[in-house]
Amino acid sequence: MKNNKLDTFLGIITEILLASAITALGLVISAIIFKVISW
Amino acid sequence: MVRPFSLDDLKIVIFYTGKVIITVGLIMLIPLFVGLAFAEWPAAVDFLLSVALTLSVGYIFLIVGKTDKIPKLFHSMLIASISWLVAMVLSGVPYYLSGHMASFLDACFDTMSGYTTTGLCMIRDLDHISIALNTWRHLITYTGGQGIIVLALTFLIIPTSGAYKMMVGEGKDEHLQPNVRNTAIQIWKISLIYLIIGTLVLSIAGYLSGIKPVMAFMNGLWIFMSAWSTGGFAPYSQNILYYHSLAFYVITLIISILGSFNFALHNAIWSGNRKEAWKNIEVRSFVTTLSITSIIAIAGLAYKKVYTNILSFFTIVFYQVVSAHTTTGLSNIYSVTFVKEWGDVGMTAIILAMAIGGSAASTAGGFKGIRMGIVFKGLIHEVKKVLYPEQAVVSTKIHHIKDMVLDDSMVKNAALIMVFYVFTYMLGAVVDTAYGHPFIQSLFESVSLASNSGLSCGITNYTNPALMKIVGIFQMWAGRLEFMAVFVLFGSIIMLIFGKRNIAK
Repeated sequence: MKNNKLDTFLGIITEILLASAITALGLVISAIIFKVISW
Repeated sequence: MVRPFSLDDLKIVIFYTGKVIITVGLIMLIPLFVGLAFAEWPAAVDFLLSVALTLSVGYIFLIVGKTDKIPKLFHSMLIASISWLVAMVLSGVPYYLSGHMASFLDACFDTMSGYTTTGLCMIRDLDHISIALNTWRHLITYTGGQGIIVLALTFLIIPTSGAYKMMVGEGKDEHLQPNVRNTAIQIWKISLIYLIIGTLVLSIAGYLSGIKPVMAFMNGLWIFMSAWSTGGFAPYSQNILYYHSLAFYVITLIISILGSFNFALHNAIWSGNRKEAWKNIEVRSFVTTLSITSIIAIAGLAYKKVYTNILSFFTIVFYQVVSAHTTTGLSNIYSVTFVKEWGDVGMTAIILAMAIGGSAASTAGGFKGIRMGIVFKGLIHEVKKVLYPEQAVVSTKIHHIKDMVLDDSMVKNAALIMVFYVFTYMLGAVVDTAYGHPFIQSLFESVSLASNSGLSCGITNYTNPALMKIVGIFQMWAGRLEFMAVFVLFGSIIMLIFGKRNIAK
């Protein structure tokens, strides 16, 4: 596969967004469990 | 077919191990310069002596083993396993000279912990070591995460098919580029670009939380190296808790997750194949098992009322689960908290997360996501074969960079490596239990060592008996090299001892 600077830049952004989304998943799980135990 | 283990074989192994040693000696120049820059003269002298010793040993290996022969698979496996042991010993010299270690064995434990990106520490007074030694600790982790041989391949070792096998022996079984040197260069390019971004972001976070600019930069650099390499070392004994910063926690979570991705995945996404980010079997496997272990840990601790609000669930419990699952080992709670507050449910969730680990050909340890995915899909495949009509052709695909049809050999290989991991996890647990520690705590510590995670419930300590430390070193080393190179080394030693000078080709 060919590497160019735009693809590299967009690739880094994609990866950071993916890692951030996985991190945000933790917040969602925390919120859901908090709601469940609050009932 | 078998062939004799000749003098030429020995020369090839010594020669290429020498090249790896030279690489280690050259990296050691960095903490030497750091020591000089910060006017830490005793530390600079320690590193000067260590560099001289390491380069001398490396050159002796090159002279003794001088050969123009190309290493084959058998040599490459031996080079990988022996290089890591020699690097551990030589890299431990500046630790020992610093006077902060109780013994040279402790220094070796720490360097193996660093190179394998485990992160467990044997230093007696971590808060008082020099900036140069702290730089060396984190540099070892950063180098080990990418691979010592991968580094040597970028500028010292001739790129041949045998050289690629050395990378396989080091647990990096991926062709990112057609050429092995370009593959090694691409791995370092990805790591260095993230090093610049991550250090910058962490330095700003450190500066804004009140650390002086130079030390904010050094802390940013060290913590990046630790998080990206899924290492777990930190410059202070309180680990990441020292910073008391939500920004530090979130940034290190993101960096740890990025570091646990397969280098082939990074390469594919950086090459324009951005859909790979959600199609890849390792990403899907990671998200699934991370969610399951997080739910177990958070729900278990919420039920016990250890933590009662969303922020604690996220910043404490989820942080430990991600740290365990990416096998990073950074921690914002004290070791004793696992035993005194988390209890069996919380510790079991962490043990599961550590055992599974991150992606193959990444800086992470554990079973690896691709093996979990393959074994799970293999199980589904077998169930389908039973449920479908006998004449139906059942085919299962997995997606890792490209679509692949799942076959029995893939499932068998993945399951076999997972079995070796389980044996290694149990080995340490049995030894620790024999020394009087409760089983769940022994298993926690053992899985942490063999999966190269680095979270601790308090067992690992410089006061431990030598046998526990030696078993720990073995677990970290075997887990990081994913067993094959270790078995080849043991097989060769047994053959030589028992006089059977025939080694399987």
